[in-house]
Amino acid sequence: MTTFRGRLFGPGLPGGGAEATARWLGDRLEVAAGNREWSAAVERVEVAGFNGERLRADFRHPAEDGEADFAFFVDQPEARIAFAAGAPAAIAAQLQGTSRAHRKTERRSRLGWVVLGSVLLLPFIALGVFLARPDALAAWAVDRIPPEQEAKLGDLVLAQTRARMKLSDSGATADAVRVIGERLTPGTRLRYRWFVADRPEINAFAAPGGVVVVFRGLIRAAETPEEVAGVMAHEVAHAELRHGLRAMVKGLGLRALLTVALGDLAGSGLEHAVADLTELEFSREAEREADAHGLKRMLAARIDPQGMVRFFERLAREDERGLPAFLSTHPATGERLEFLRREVSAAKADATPLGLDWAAVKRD
Amino acid sequence: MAMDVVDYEILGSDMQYVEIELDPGEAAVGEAGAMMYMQDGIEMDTVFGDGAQQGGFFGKLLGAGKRLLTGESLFTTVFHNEGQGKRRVAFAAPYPGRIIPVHLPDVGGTLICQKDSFLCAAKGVSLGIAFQKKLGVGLFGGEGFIMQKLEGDGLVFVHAGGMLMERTLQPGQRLRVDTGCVVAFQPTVDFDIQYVGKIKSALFGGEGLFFANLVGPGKIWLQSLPLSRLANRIVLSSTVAGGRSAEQGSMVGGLALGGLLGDDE
Repeated sequence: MTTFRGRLFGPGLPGGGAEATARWLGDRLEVAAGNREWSAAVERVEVAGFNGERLRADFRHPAEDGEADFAFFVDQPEARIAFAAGAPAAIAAQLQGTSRAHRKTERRSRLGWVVLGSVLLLPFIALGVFLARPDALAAWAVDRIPPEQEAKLGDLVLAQTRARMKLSDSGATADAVRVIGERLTPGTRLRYRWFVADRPEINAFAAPGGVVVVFRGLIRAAETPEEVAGVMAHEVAHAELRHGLRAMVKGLGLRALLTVALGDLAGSGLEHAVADLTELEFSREAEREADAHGLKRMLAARIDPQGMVRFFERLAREDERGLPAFLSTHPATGERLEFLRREVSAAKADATPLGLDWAAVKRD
Repeated sequence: MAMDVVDYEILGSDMQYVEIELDPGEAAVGEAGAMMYMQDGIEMDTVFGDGAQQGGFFGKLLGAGKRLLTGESLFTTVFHNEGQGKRRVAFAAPYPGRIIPVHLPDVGGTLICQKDSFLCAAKGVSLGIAFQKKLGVGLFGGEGFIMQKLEGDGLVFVHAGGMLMERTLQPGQRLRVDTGCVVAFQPTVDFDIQYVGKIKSALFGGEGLFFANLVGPGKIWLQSLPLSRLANRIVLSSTVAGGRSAEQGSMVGGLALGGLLGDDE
């Protein structure tokens, strides 16, 4: 019979146990530790110790004051195998039971951790879902924002913009912008406010709630009012389709989920989101939508859509490398130009000219 | 990795420190910040991990992460005797309590102890996590799910609050312990929880709903005053928290006279 190693505990032995070797002899277990020996029938075999990771064989043996309890621990895997190999039938049956008990504890512990882990991981899972389908989620969320809130956001953006540049809503230029704008937005639910920003960049943007800002640089670069109308139609489309809100929800949602998932994130949410809004990077999807929708508005307003195309072309030609701000935040200009050209040539343009003294407007 | 064999002396009664004597070439490992003094010849080095890690960078990282979970810091300091003769380095207990030396071979090479109780040891000790797999014990046993596991073949020094008591449990012998008072035990000891018994006791007995149930065989170490209990008492009895100041005779006395005659706060 093979001998196997273990640790023996009992009266007469050190408190922390003594290293021992043992072997089966028929029905009895023979244990040797130090220079003493014990031989007894094992009463019981159990999983024992911290986390039930050890195997304990209990037996009784005569000691100083009569019979006493002893415990022999079998730990190492090789020892366990040898222990199981030589065990008498009754003990072998108990061994089966112990491995079952051990597995049960393991299973329950695993289950508990799965539950706990899922709860802890929930924010991250939500984050993952959010990142996978941001548009659908954002669209759903935006649909639930009432127009009054939207208008308030627009006010916020307006205030932020005013802090950075001079805005005018009166004067020849501003009036022209308003005229064009009003023609583009009949029967709208938004309360539009038209502004001209005193800046030389060729740029324009729209904020949620109907705030539209056109830069003086754009006015000066346009040869006809139809060209400006084209750009404004695009921006109006952004406002009508609530792209700003969607992007903000996406950004905020991401940040909110991140805060829940990761805890303390520096930076306040709304303030930054609003600041970002003024220099938004719309997704290509949004840009395409805005292009198409803007064109529809132009046609509905009976403004010559060629203006839009011409303007894009001229800008692209004039400034190949250093793209003006307007274009640089709008990627894939070539694609969009192609799309516009196609749509415009296909559309039946029944245009009424914008009766504006453009020279005077540009001079303003 | 075989541990260095060191000599030691524990000094102090309730706020102790242990002075470890190192032969030339030997080293002691201490928790970051535990060192009290060291003689000439002892050089201090900070290692990522416990100095016994054999693995590569990732192994060390994992080990360090585990140590963070057990309440230790990411780094340990190693005090190496680079002098010619025996030199001493001392490690002090961080709060009132006792330091106990445990010779790991006496307990089979592994000791399970409560978080943050490791103070110092001979170099070569392996500091790891003992993960409590039984959910009930983890939640109500007073020690949480994570305990420290010290492995090696030499001396380790463990620290706990209050008075420390070592007990040897015979096979089958059971001791019910207030949760939180278990400091360390040999892994052959069953650590379980047991419901207090009567609802009345559970609600008003002050011991909580569960006892920690320790069943032998093996050695266990218990503490009389866990630090958290001491800290709570201190906070509760501070005047800021509404406790009584010993100077107060009456409210007026406390406010006026006490202030006028000076406080040594």
